[in-house]
Amino acid sequence: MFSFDRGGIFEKNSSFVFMANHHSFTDTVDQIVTDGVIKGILHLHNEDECLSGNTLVLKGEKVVNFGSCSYLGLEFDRRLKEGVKQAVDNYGTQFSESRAYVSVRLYDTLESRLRALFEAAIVVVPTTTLGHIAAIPVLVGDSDAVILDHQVHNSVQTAVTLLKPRGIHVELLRHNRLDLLEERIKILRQKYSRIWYMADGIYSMYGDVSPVDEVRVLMNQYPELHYYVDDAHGMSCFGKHGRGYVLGRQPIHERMVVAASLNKSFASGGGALVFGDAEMARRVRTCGGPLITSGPMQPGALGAAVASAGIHLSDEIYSLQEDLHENIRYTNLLLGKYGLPAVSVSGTPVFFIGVSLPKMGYNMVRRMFNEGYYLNLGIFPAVPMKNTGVRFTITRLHTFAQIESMIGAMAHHLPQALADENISMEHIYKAFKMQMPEEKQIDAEVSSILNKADLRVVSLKSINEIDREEWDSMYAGKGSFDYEGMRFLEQTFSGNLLKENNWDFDYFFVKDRSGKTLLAAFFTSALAKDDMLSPAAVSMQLEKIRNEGDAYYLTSKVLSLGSLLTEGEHLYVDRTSPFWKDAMHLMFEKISALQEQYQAVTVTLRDFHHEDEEMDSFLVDNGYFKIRMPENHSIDKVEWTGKEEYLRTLTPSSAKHVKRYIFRYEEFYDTRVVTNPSPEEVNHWYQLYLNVKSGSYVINTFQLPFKAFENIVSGGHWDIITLSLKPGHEQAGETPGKPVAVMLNYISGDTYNFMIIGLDYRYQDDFKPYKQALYQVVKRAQNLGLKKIHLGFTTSSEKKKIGATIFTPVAYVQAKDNYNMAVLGNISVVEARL
Amino acid sequence: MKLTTGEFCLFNMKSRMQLLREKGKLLSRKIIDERHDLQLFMLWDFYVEVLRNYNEQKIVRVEPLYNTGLLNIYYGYPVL
Repeated sequence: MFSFDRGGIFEKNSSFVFMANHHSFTDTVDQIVTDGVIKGILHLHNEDECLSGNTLVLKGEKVVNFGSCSYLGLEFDRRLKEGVKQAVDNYGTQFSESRAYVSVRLYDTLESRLRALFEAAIVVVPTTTLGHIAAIPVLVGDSDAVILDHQVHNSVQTAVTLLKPRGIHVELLRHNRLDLLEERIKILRQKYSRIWYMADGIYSMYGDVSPVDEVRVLMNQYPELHYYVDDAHGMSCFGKHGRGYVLGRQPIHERMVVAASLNKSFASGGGALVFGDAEMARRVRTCGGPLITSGPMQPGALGAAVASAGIHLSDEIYSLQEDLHENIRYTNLLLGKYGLPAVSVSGTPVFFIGVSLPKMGYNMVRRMFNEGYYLNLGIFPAVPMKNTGVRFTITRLHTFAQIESMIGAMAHHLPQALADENISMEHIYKAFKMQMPEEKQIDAEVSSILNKADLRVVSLKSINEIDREEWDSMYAGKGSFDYEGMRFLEQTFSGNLLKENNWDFDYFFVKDRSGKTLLAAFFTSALAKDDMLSPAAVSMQLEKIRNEGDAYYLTSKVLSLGSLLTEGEHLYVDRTSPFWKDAMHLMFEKISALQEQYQAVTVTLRDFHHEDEEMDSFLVDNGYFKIRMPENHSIDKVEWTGKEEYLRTLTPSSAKHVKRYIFRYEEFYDTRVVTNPSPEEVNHWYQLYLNVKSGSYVINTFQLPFKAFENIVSGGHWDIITLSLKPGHEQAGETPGKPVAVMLNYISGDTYNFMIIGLDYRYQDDFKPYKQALYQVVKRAQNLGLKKIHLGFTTSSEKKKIGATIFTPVAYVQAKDNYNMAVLGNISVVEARL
Repeated sequence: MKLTTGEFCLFNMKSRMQLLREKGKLLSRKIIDERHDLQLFMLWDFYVEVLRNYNEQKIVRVEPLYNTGLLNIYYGYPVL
């Protein structure tokens, strides 16, 4: 249930999909990283006096480091160290002038060597990230379009955000889907001068690669296509003179820009942009923001880079590369032999063993640490929540023995961690959409059955199959989803013409041996707009597209605990039972099955108390990320009688407001509780509702079907209030007594739920029907002797004034595919406002 | 974890020697001429023959020994 302002007007009862806003995203990242810090996995510091190989001392333990991106181990090379020393001796610890004015002369040497290395025009930059920030705003013109690979590195995405204020078209492409890329090129080339496809050479988490050869074919076919690639992880490890994965496969193209890192295998720090077109390089060197206003690479790093470039230009680089590739080959062989769920096998030094949920990631990384191996936790936001994994890198410095003992340890600990966390191997393979070895699948099923033998699951498809008393004992008074409320929902959202109005219902119970219900929940699967909680400006832009014919643009199936129309504690769980978490695990399994059955992109578990730390930790560990729901409102104790007593429950300023804007106007209205409306009346109410709905973008939902109104008037738990202006106050030509507001409310137990509102906007300024409606809802609940009023989401300022308290529930979301969310995140609000 | 001979042969000579050092067991050594010797290793469940220039301490060849009939040539020498 939602309500929200639109110039003082609001809508209620909208559907519900959670689009994490920036604040929630930061909160989630903070929570996960902080959790990792607390668990001793993240934000570590080495304790060695000095480093000389691939071991580290962390937390007092010597561990083999499988997290380094210095794949060739050049950071310990004597020549690089000497280069640093000599540069610092000659030029000092820093040369603090913008490169727009003066560069230390080592730059000349380095740039000359890098030009030879890449056989192309280059620009040296302090870091690859700053390189993106320097290059992308200069390269991409106002008449260009940008297509970002969904998994392109965050630093590229960050630089692309700089294009948004210029209204440049930016869109996302599903990872490595060049068939879709071609489709988009065909469309975009009609409108845009150039199309920039931005990708990574080697993706930093899963270690998979950009299909360089295929992109080249498209570049030859479509002259508008430009290819901007971040090849940070490929630099040095591949290609002639170590020029990287991308340029190791194909020579530079005149419409290609490659960003190489000098801060990984090159072992010096810094970065280089490589251009097929020398004029592009010149413009970036001249106009790139950080190249004008930010500091340069410092002498020490330049000294190391010059020395490293010398090695790259000699044949020695091939021997170093070969050593690395032998280690990569050995690693891939062993991963296969040990049957570990490696997410990608692509011959790169980055490996990712899928473990699915964050808690498994923590468990495995901790276990491996205890065995003497430091590996990275691959976790949200770098990967989706359900795709947590153990990321590790292989360098030239690893020995076969180190690699084998590490992989052997991982194979040993994975089953134990699975048992700890009550997760099956099948779950992991499913999460990563990988084929599971058959015999392991059988083992997992047997184990799962044994573990859960004491709990019984009951799955049902309709409220009619459930005992009314049992259901209401858990849900009466908690919202509009008691037994009758569910019947209303099932009747309303089935058998409709429009697909958004047809929902799937699933009821789920976990009972113990005695038959006692430990957990109950209902789920609905329904189509929803992905931008439901996006900024209104974004929704306005999307609605324009939808109204122009693509009615279901950026919509997707959502599996919700509860429904898109209800609000409250949908999950019943007996937390006094020692088995409540086991019951929750069974629910997660059910959710996975339903998600697959309905092809739901997102799972939303909603309306949880924000201070329930145990539940919070449990859900996050199981792969859900927390987002704050909109502010919700209720009056928890309706204990007053009469206006004066009511006013005394309010703050002085609210009481003043109520007197001035509500009581003063009350005399203009006839307030009716309607029990047997005519079809014309119902039709009018629906039109009032559509008035509100049509201009509401703050929470963007599909409109309710008319059938909902028909079912409401025939349902016993609904209470309908209308506000009509007394004769003489209606506008010219209007029928006297015609309602200007309708409030549809649901009574459950001792709770009054304000569900839907319709308004005639024309009277808003003169008679303030919205404020009046809110007050009449409160007054009606009091008249009925009800104890609590749910007033729904948003319009906080109005609801606060009539005595509501504000609370912010939280929801937990799991997205199988965050593509649409990412597309939404990249829609320019500035553009949307045009 | 065992590798097969086919998998062993995926690696270059340097890596094969690393595997022999880490996993193999030297069974025997036979001097071929004034510069070269042959070393026989057991690696998991197969044999590997290493041809070495012992004057220069340089490895010339590292290959699995498929023809086990040739093992007899080693038996006349003591296992090191």
